[in-house]
Amino acid sequence: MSSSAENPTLTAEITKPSTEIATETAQSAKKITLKTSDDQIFEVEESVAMEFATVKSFFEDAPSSTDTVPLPNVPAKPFSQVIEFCKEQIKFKANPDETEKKRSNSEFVKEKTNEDLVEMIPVANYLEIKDLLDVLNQAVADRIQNRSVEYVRSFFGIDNDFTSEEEALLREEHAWAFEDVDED
Amino acid sequence: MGGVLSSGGPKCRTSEYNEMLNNGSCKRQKTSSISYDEESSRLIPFLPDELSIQILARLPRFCYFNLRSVSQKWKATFESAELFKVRKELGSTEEWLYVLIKDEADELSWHALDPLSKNWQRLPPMPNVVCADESKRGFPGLWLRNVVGSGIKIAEVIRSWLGQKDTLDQMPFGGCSNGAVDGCLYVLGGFSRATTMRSVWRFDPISNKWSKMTSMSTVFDPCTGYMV
Repeated sequence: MSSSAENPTLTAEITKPSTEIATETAQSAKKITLKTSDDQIFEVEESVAMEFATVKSFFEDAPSSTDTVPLPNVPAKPFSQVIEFCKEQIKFKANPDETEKKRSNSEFVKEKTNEDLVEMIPVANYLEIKDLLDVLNQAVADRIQNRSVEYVRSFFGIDNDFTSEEEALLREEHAWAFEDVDED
Repeated sequence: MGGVLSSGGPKCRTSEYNEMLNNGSCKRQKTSSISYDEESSRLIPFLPDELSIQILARLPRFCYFNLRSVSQKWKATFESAELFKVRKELGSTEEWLYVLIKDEADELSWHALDPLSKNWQRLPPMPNVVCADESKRGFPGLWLRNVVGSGIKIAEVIRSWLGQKDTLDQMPFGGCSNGAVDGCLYVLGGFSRATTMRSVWRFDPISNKWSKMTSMSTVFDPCTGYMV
């Protein structure tokens, strides 16, 4: 009895979805507007923006917000590269392939300059993109590995605060530590 | 929980990550307004130290000796337990093999092998002469000990490289015994000429220094093996 009474509503609901699907597709293509520290406006697909934990939690607090999200610690240049990374990452979410992901990540860092890499680190940290932070930290470590002290100082813009005596002593110790070793 | 930072797989979702942040196991700094003084005392001027240390912890350990010379802060960091804690969390700890060698001139010295880079390096000499004895046999005494982890396999490999697999166990060690506790190498007792010693020395690979421990209350039996 009651079931036959419910049937009409059911069919009504089945016919309805066509409009719902339409709104859903509209939602998935929804763009989120983000403003960088140097006042550049970025329109980013929602799925990409949700990769940024910081932005995600902003929308969790205010789900219906259509406001521009300010990113006070994020300059435009590294941000555009971070977006590039996240767009790639999303592909692997639907279709996880660790080997391909690794290849894509190493491709991503390979074509970046030293400056690009170190500029992205604070951005990835602020936006809380853990995968990117791991990739960047490793990439920077790989680039300074086996390099001279002078190279590392200029890489990061570090001032030498040793006296020349102290430095000579450290280098002497170093030479001694490796006295039996062939440098490659 | 601390492993979240290192597990880094695609399954590590943000909620989990936030939880970790809230737990305080990974403190992230989000302020950008920093004074010049603050910047100049950092490991890397434009990065908070928590982030810089994540980079340094990903370097192979053999780089540390060289890169100590970058700045005072780098040197202090390479000798700090904090960095090695991060390495542990990242799973980037390395197993090094420590070998006590007696050369033709009867000089005893400790050497460390980094199996990844295949680099040998000499440890600083122990602060006093250690237990040279039975020198008349005329071949180098060898002592193998892996400080971090079990590393039995590595020891076997080294033994076979040196072609001394069979004779190793009967070699004259000068009577001191050693062991590894909590990442530090301990050398106990031993002979000095005809007298036995009660001294205990500890080598800490993090600070790269030997230190004298409280002496044993009784003289160590020179032939007793000591495993931890």
